[in-house]
Amino acid sequence: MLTIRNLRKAFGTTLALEGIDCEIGDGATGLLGPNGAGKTTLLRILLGLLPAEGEATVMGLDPFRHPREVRARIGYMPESECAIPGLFGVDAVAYLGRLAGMPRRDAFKRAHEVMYFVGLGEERYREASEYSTGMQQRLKLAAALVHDPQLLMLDEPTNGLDPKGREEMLTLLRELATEHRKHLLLSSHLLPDVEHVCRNVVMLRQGRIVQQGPITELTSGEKGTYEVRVRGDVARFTAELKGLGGEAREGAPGDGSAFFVRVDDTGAIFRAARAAGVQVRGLKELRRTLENVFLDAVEAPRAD
Amino acid sequence: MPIDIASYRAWEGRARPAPLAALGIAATTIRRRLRIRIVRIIVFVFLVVSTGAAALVFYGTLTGRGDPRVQEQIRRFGFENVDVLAILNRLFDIAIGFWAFVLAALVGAPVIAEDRRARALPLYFSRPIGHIDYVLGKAMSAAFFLALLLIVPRIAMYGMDIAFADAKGAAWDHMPTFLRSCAVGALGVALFTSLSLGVSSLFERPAYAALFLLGLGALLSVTSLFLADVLESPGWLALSPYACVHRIAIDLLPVPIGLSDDTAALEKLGIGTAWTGYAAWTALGLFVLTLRVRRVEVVT
Repeated sequence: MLTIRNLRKAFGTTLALEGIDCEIGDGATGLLGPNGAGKTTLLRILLGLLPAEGEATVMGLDPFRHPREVRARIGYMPESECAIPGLFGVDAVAYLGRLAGMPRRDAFKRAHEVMYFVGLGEERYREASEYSTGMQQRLKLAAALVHDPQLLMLDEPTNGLDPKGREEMLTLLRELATEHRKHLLLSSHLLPDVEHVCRNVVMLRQGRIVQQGPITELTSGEKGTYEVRVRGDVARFTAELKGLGGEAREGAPGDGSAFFVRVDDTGAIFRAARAAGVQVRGLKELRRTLENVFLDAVEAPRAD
Repeated sequence: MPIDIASYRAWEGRARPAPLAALGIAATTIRRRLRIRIVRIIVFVFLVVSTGAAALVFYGTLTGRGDPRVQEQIRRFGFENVDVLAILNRLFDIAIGFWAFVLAALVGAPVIAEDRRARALPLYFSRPIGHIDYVLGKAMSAAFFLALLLIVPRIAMYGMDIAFADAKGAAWDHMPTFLRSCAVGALGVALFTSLSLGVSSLFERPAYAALFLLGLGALLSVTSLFLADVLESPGWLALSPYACVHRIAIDLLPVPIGLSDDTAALEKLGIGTAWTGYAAWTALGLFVLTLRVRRVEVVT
């Protein structure tokens, strides 16, 4: 879907992005990073709005050479509160559909449909500038969807939403990604938003990619590491486990009956337990949260 | 087909970058302007109707067809055998100068300022359109309203001129004057469009942009007259955009009689200087507009 090679962007002496190298596949991908990490700049470069050094392709097209063709295939939802002044909601969406290259009739028909889809069906004939923040977010999503693009670039789509509105917005996005097979690039600094919608994540810090990959892989922790809780002679169990090629270390939360075990095969845990005469009361694969991954990535010292 | 409100539905068509996106932008901007009652009133009622009616009355008085008393009055004023259409247009230019600025402030100055205030530019530029499409669309919308004031009445006057003319072939005979008159109108449209949009791109509040444009027009007019008078150099009149276009109008529509002191004073301004001033003001407006839109778009 997106290929980026050695992308670099500077505003005067301020380096916004450097050495960005990644491939973003189909489905929903989160673009995570603290404020000022370069997320919005990257989106604008991919839209062909900003020139940059390096190479990029969006759905096989070069955004620097063919920015209009790229934008015709992308639905972009900007971060800031924005609206076309002086138009009803449905008129604004239809207008943006026409600017995206839709025939007038189709643009109006689609505008009505997507307004209903985002939950603004009853508010279509209100001036967009009178909408609440939550409604404006929905309107921006409708405008991004009106020309039925394959790829949606969403910049902080839950900005300014209350918990209910946020949940509804994320549900819509998830539905678009899973049921309607839209490719999403969701820029956010809110980890739960990304976790709720995306399968993959790219983490940015100070204009560089610090971590990327499928969320399940990034949060899986060390392969073959488990948290085990036993009842019985712990020392004997760990000795048996060592004999079977495993390794145990303390540090798990609780009363001391739980510890971390690293084995190639979970069967070794049960064999060691039988040999030591202890009861295995709990066994779970050790997983890291996306927050752990994110904090490790953004707090780690930079290589340079 | 009923609207599907249950779920998202794919669109069967294919979006293609619109080659005439500027027209769509212009049409929507005009529609937005016309939703404002004061704009509707000024454009359609006050300006078009009143200038049309004034021209009709003036024309009827001037020609006084079939009325020997009016013919005698006309002869006493030296209006015999003159290009009536040119006189009408000249009087129209004098009368309309102020209103052109007012209309530019009303319909041109807010168009980009209100987009900036609503932060609409990211929405525009995330579509397959370029800066040129946006600027051209906004310029066409302002030019449409200005043309209603500066060109449409000239067409009406030409129509009346033909309708009231005794001689056959008047339409063809008066065509050169009509075309020159339209050229003057078009120059005014281009100048006021460029200036109003340039000013509009500097502000986020439409009212500030409108007031600034009016203030700038007044200031330049007063300053140019003052400097030309004090320094005894008519070249300073080119500081006023209106004076430049008016001087060009005098050159394009020569009338063998003086109509006012204004005209006589303006004729001292060299035509070359007037054209230079005109080009400079129009280019300045376009330059500011293009620069600001590009910059605003990048940093928004």
